[in-house]
Amino acid sequence: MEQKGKSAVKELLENNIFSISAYLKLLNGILNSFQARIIGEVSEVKISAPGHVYFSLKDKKDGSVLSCVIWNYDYKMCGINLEVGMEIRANGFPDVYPPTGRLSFKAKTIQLAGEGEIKKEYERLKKKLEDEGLFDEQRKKEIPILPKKIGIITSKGGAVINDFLNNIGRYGFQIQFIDSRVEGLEAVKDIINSIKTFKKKDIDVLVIMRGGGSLESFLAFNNEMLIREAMDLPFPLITAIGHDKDVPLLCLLADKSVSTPSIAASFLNASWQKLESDLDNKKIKIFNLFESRLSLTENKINNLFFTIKSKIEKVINNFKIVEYKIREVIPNLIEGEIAKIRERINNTERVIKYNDPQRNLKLGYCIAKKDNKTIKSVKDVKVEEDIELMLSNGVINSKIKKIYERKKP
Amino acid sequence: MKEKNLKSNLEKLSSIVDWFEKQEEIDVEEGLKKVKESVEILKEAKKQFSDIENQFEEIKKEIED
Repeated sequence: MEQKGKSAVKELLENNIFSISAYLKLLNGILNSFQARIIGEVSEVKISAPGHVYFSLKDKKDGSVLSCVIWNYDYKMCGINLEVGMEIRANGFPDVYPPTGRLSFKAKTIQLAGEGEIKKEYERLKKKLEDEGLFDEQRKKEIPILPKKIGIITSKGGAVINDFLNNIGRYGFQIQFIDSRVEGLEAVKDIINSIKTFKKKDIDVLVIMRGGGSLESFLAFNNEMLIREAMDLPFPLITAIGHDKDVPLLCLLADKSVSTPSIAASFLNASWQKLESDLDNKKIKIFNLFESRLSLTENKINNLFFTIKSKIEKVINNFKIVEYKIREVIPNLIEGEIAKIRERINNTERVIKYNDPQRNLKLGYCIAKKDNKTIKSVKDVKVEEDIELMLSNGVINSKIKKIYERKKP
Repeated sequence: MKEKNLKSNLEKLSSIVDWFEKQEEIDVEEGLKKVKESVEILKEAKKQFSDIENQFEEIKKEIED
């Protein structure tokens, strides 16, 4: 088939005479299919008024030179300030410019190739953006709590996306993914276009990811156009770009930068996990508080029941006490009082009995009386006076013969 | 009689206890009335409490499943 095509072109060339314009068109058609990546040292640079850049690339070994051009838009996209002596890689195809008949390599992208240059450019741009305040902390946006809609830019071919998806939690994330080259000359354009697409979408956070690699492989993430595209996004940016010592400038711009896709996933999971555990804790707290409230209420009901029960029992007991007093205590008290009275009567009786004069008269004593008055002293009577002696069974009338008075001791 | 909620029933029971507390000499007939009333309220309060407890257990079971 290819052979057939070639022979058709050969036949076309052999059998026709071409105008210059037609021949150049034919030639350019063929040359355009020679798209290639070339490497060389910049030997000449000219910038035209509209901003297109004309430069020459020289082979360092034998000095072969190829004229090149890069259009203004593509040049800006590449974020390089071409200078003589720089070693660069260019991606494009050859083309003859009809007005001059000059063959030049139309570069679509250019990229620094020498490590020294890359480092130098990195430091220059870093300082420039730093001076502009692009990396300042106060510019950084808060990553929303409980993010839901996640935008992802990375290559679908790498392990990165799987690593991220394996680690993102089941919290109902809505993930929108744009497959983009993340290395090489086309990466910048791809990533910029992806960011532009996401700017039009409703997402909570954008994650740009790439696995580890050399400084050269991170060139896309140190591209000024890309960084300017990623500043002032309507949503926060997280970068998960593995790197060694030189932090890609996009990571310095990002609102949050982590080193691996799994950490990015964990970071997005974090507020959901916290919510999950907070909800658990709150649930436990509410349940415990309610359980203790239930227990207090139960105690209150029981206490009220026992209090009221004890109150009425007290009333009943008071009655029982009164009843007991009436039945047991009062009769005993009365009985005791009666016994005491009885005892007192008996005692009195005994005393009266003991002091009864009749009792003494029976014993042989008698009572001497004069004029019905008891004689208590010898001085109450005189000799020859009549007295009466009362005995237990009668009275003796007597006359006093003599009186003997007992001398006081 | 309008059915009262647990809270108002407990308040009513507390007021009956307070009544007993305040009496130096209890009017037995009045006391008996209060006791009868408190028994009715207690029955209702216990039922209300048991309903709440059951509902809570069901909710707990539901959320733990």
